[in-house]
Amino acid sequence: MAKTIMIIDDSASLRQVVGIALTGAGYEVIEACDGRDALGKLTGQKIHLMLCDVNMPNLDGISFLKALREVPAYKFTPVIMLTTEAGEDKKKEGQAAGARAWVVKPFKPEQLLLAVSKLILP
Amino acid sequence: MSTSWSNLVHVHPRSLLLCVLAWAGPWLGAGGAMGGFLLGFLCAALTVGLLLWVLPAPVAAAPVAAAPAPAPPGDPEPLARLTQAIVPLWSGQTAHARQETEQAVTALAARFAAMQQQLREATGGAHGSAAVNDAIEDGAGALFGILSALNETQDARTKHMAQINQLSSLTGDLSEMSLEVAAIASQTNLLALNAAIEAAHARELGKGFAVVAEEVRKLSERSGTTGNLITRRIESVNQVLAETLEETRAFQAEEDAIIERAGITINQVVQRFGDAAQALSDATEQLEGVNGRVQVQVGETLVHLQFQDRISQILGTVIADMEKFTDRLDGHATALDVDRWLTELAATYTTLEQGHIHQGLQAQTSLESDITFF
Repeated sequence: MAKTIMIIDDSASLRQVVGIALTGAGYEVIEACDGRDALGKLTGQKIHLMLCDVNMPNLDGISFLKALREVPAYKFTPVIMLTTEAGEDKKKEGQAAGARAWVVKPFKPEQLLLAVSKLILP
Repeated sequence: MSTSWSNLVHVHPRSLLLCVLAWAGPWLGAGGAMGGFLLGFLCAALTVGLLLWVLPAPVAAAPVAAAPAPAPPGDPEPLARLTQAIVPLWSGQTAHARQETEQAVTALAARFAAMQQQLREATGGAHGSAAVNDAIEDGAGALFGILSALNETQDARTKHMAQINQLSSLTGDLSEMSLEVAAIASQTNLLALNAAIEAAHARELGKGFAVVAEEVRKLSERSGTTGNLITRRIESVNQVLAETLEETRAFQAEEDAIIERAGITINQVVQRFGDAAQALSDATEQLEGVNGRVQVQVGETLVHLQFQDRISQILGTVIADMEKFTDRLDGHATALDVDRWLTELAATYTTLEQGHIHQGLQAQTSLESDITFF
């Protein structure tokens, strides 16, 4: 049974790039174009990990992460922030909100997969 | 347009546009080839605006009448109108370029995704050569099994021939025994004849003995006849055995030749299939090598495609600042704090390069992943 990963990013091309890397590694992928869209797609199904952008319209990544932790089913779902933001303050903000890792774009697919395999739920 | 706005467009907007030109260009240039288009567009637009602005070279806070072509009373200052009109256009064009880049890169990523999928499928098909090798090995095993069975049959036939040879030697013994029986019959016949002679010499007293001698002679004749019959039958059997043996030998020789040819043919076929499989395997290995290299290149291309997201972020900042600038024009600002503007602008940066450029440093985009685990 393939594990499911949700990609939340307002850039369609970035979602595709990440999707290619993940599906190539055998994961199933759910896409969401921003935090609000992602919350709408949480229907209680098992999601083993989330990759989330920070700067997005409607609901940004940090706010989404805070909202996600309020949903019991996803309280402990590992979330990797995937962003162009490289500032330490933002990283600390993400960590405080419950992110497990911070990946600065651009990233190499194999290194992203390594981070995913390290954090994904069994 | 208020008087304060006239002052603003004569002094502060010039500084602002210079600032915008200074930081917008290098950001976009850092984005790659597609970013170069946007850079060209923005720089050209901003340069035209700047020239229009700089050429009159009005003095700070100078009255409108001091300009080379004074505007009629009540008419907004031309540069202010131009700025008010052109900045939204720049913003709109930049937003459009951003959207087109996003669409183009998304389509490009989709094509690379399809390519990568096809490459994976091609690799899956190439793995079929292993199945071909297995099938050839299985086939060769089955053929050699048949050859082995034929050889076993040949061995069994050789044993049968040995048994027939043994039987032939037994019939030789039987033939000698039948000749012995014939010789005994002949001797008995002679003995009966002598007994009859001796019975004749005894005249009346030898009559009974003569009858016995006659019966013995008859028995010896029958024994001799039977002995001859046995000899002829044995000769017949010997002849049949000899013919059978000869036919079997001929058949075995033919069969040996067939099995030998079959062995040679099987070896040749297996060798040919093995060569073909080896060639297929070599081609597959080569294909897999090429496939792997292409996949690596596609992967690297996908990494580079992420430039679009960075450009989008940078352009988003540029557009937002242009809109802010337009709002300030519409808002009849009484004064503009350039330092505050720049500080606020810096707070909107999302990439390290933006910060570097803001500080007048060279912007370089690293392709090494920066991952922090919490």
